[in-house]
Amino acid sequence: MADGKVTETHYNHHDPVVAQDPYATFADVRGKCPLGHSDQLGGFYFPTTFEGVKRIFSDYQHFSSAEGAGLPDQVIRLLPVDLDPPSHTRWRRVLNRFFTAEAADADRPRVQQIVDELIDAFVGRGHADLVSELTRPLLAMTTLPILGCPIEDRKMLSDKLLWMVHNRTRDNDGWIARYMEMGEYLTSLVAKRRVSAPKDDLLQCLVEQEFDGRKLSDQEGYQVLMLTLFGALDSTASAMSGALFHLAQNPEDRRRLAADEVPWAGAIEEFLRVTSPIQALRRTVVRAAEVDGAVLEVGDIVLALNGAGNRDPAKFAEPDKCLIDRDAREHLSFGSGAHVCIGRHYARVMIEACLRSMLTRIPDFEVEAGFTPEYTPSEARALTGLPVVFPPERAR
Amino acid sequence: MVGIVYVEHCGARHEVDVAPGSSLMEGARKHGIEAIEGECGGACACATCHIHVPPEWRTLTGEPGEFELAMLECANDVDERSRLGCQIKVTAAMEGMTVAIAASQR
Repeated sequence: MADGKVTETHYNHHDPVVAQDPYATFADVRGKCPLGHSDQLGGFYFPTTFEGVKRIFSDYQHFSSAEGAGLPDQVIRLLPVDLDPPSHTRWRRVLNRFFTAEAADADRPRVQQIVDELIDAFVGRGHADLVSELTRPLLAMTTLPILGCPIEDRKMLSDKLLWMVHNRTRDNDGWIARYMEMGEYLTSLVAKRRVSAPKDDLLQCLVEQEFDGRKLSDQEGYQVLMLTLFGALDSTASAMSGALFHLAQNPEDRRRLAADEVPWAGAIEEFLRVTSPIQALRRTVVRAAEVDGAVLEVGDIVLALNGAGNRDPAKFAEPDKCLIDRDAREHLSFGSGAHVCIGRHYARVMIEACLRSMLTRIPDFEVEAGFTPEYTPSEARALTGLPVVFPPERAR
Repeated sequence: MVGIVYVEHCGARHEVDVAPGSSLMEGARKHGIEAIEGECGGACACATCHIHVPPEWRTLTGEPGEFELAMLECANDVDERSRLGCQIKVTAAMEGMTVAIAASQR
């Protein structure tokens, strides 16, 4: 129980209504006592200032991941996100090499080829759903080979993970059933690799390398792959979809970016800030600590809300506006601290290839008339669709 | 500002000015010294800002605490000079300090 002033709410990141605009709640709480408390999901606290959110991510000595990073709990422990340093660090150092800035940079030609093929499929048609036809398949086609998951399973994995991420509190039985299916699929994938020809991918690393001094079981391999798939099939697509939604509505920003009047690197950080694809990660208080004006006690559950930190006007002026020439580099969309997103370098490469290619090949796309954006609830917030229209390529 | 010299394992020297109160990791990142990664942003949580502080400067930098020692166990090329750059706040007395960047942060 927090000692001090908190703002009471019914905030629940799994609520589909809340997911349409969580920022109004964050702003309301921030304007009162900036530490929010919710009576939902068993009760939890949430800071709403940039510094407060960043502290939760950074300070593992007070805010531990060892009780799980999801609220409510996942069916299994996800590795290594449910570990604290230094054990987490030893895991992370083995996994990092697949996701370094150099690795992502060297992979640009492959990412570009995927983007080109996806755009080829709809550029002559004059309309497309950029979520199902571009951003989600681009992300999956880029990441699955890195992980070592068969590309022919892309649709099954993408559909299943999308369902699991967004329906956890709406259909518990369905959620557990899908976990069982994924467990069977992924443990079998790990077991098969142990007796197959080696490849240079994450799956090989999971069967060959030692993590914190020992080799992994098939079950632990599944626990890593499950986490990686959650990250690899949804979040970056959300950033790209949100960026494309902005660009579809703002021709002047399309023009400025296409003409290199605004640096791409900076604009990408602003798209990441505004979209905040990951919205909420849970920590458990293991030492009492003051955050946003109140003291959290041992055992309290606290949610670090990436989007709340990213919309703090004390850090980012006019935070609800997407200003592509602002300096948004300190945003919290990749989290911060020990668990900072391992895929962040790849995310930037994918976002750039996707947006640049769209502006080059389809410079004048617009959102289809009558479109109302719908966002998924849960830890991950994403546009469910983005129908656009444009002059077909042949007509130009 | 405080003049700090960062020497990379390959021998490259970076003589830069670091704001007092910021960390040695932040000072390096601000000047684009890529050999210090600082992946976790300064939370003593990734061991990618590993530096070697010569004995003559250790009175000023102090000794690693419990959590830093645990993190250093995850780093490469650790010896008695090892520190994490994120855990050393720069003070005016450090003017002219030279630190060596560990061979690899990964």
